[in-house]
Amino acid sequence: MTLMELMISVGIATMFVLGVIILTQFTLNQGLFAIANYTDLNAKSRQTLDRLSRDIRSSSQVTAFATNSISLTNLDGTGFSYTWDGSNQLVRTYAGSSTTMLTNCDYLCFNIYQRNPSNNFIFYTATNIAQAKLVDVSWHCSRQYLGAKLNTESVQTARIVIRN
Amino acid sequence: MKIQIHRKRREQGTMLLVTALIAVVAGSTLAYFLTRAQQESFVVNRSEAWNKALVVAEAGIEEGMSLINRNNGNSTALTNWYTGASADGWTVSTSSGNDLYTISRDLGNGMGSYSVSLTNSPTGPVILGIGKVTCKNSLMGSDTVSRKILVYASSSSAFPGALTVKSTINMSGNNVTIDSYDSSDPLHSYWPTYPLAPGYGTYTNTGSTPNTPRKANGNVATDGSIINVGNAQIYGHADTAPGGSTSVGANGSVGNVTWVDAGNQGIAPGYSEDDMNVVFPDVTVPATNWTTFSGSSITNSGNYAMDSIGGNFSITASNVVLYLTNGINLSGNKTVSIGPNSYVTIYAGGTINDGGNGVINNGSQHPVQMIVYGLPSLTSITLHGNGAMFAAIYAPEAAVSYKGGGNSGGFNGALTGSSVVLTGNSTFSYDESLARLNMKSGYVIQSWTELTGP
Repeated sequence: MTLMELMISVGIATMFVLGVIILTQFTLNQGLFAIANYTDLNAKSRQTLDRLSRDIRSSSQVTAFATNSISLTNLDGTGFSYTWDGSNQLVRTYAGSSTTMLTNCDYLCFNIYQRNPSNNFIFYTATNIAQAKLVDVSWHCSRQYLGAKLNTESVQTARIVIRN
Repeated sequence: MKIQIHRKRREQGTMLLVTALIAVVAGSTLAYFLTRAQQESFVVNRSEAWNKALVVAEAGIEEGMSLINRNNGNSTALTNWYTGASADGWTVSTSSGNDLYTISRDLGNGMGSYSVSLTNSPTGPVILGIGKVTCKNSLMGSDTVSRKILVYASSSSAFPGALTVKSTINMSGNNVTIDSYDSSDPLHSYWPTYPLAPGYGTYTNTGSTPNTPRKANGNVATDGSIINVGNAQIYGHADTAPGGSTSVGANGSVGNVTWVDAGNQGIAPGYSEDDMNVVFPDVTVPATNWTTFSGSSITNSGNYAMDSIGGNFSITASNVVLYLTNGINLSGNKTVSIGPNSYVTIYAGGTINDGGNGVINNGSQHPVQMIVYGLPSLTSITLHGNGAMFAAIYAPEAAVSYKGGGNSGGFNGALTGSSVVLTGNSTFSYDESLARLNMKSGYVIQSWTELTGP
């Protein structure tokens, strides 16, 4: 084997190996990022749903309502609220301090109902906040990879009955 | 120039290195994937257990509510729930001077377990339910998730409003008026000027004529879907079950005193709702010794059993409980008279029929002094022909017919029935002091709190 032959062989082999490595890295990274994203999305959504459902369940009444925001009062008279900014964050406010519960939240909607179920688990819509005894909330969040929305979590939906 | 290469040795070393490198990369990647998946599995498992624990804890609260409502429908025995606690499987002990009732249950099949503690505080029963569910937190290990719910229960009034029914309320004809007053309030009832005996006020519904003591809590409510107000004047609210409707005729009016007295037609803003949701427990006859009675006048306190009251009847004893198998039937100017210091509780089956100028509770004209519990066999209550009644009636299986048309009569008190029909010239006045009586229909949850501490 001449030196020229060796250099050409090494060059081609290097290019091939680099290509394989880059492709593998790209694929692995996508997979790893996807898993990291899903884990993060699941964890944040689950944490938010657990906190929100516990808050609403123990509250005494709804004091203000919009499809992107809801305020409630506890039995001890203290108030708290959950507000979605319309494009990104869901923020919980309690006793003057705010906590960001969700980020990259693309959609969120609150609805209020009466406690009484109709047929097929459909609840009667509350026409005013005094009637509200059930809060319906839906949202979905996404994460980005290389500037694109790689993973979008399926919509989270919950119906929480105010116990008081 | 020729280059000498010892191919075998160098190839072997390179291959080993590459293989080791690939193995490390593949192994690390696999380990990462598996760790993430395992972590996700544990988190999901814990979340499931956390949510399940709440349901299990609430199951415990349900068992506690079931215990304290074991005498539901029997107002005199309602608060004696603790007498049968041991027989129901509860353990009774004493804690800080108070009796403590506890019970624990394992739901089996990995559903978890709950333990309930119940005590009788001065404000009513207090129930603590703790739900426990086991979940995996590692490959070999497990953890127990628990949630605690604290509930304060209170008894609900058997007479919360003027007319409360399970199905429909139908008013027809003119001059039907429903309002409220308060016999314990001199400003909202007619009190004697001096010496203020017997300590309560009376009231006369003047129809649509302005009336100084009048209040606007003559609420009509149904668990059904229809209230037909017709041309009636209702000084109060109208409330149906969700999805129900309240219809008002051309001359009908529902609202506060100012609204109705001003001649407004229709429903005042905020005086109609559709959020009624109430359970009406059936009444049971108290387990006590009944003295058979067949006379027409009771002068000694006690528990008496009779077939029915069909003529003039008087009660002057201070505290009388009557069990009437076939109810009350009055006509031809007959009266049931209750003395000014007498309190009567009636458990009635059959029918209650008050007509022909008959008056029930003619003496005191104070509804608080005559409480009528309709047994499931009491299916009809009729007031007609100038009949008058001053009583609080809880008869969830009775169809009530109130036929006016006379020039006197009326109903003061409160009425709970299966359905109600009111025709022309009927007046109905709710005595608000009835809501404050110790006549309760059952225990309901007053407050529900999840305890977050250890």
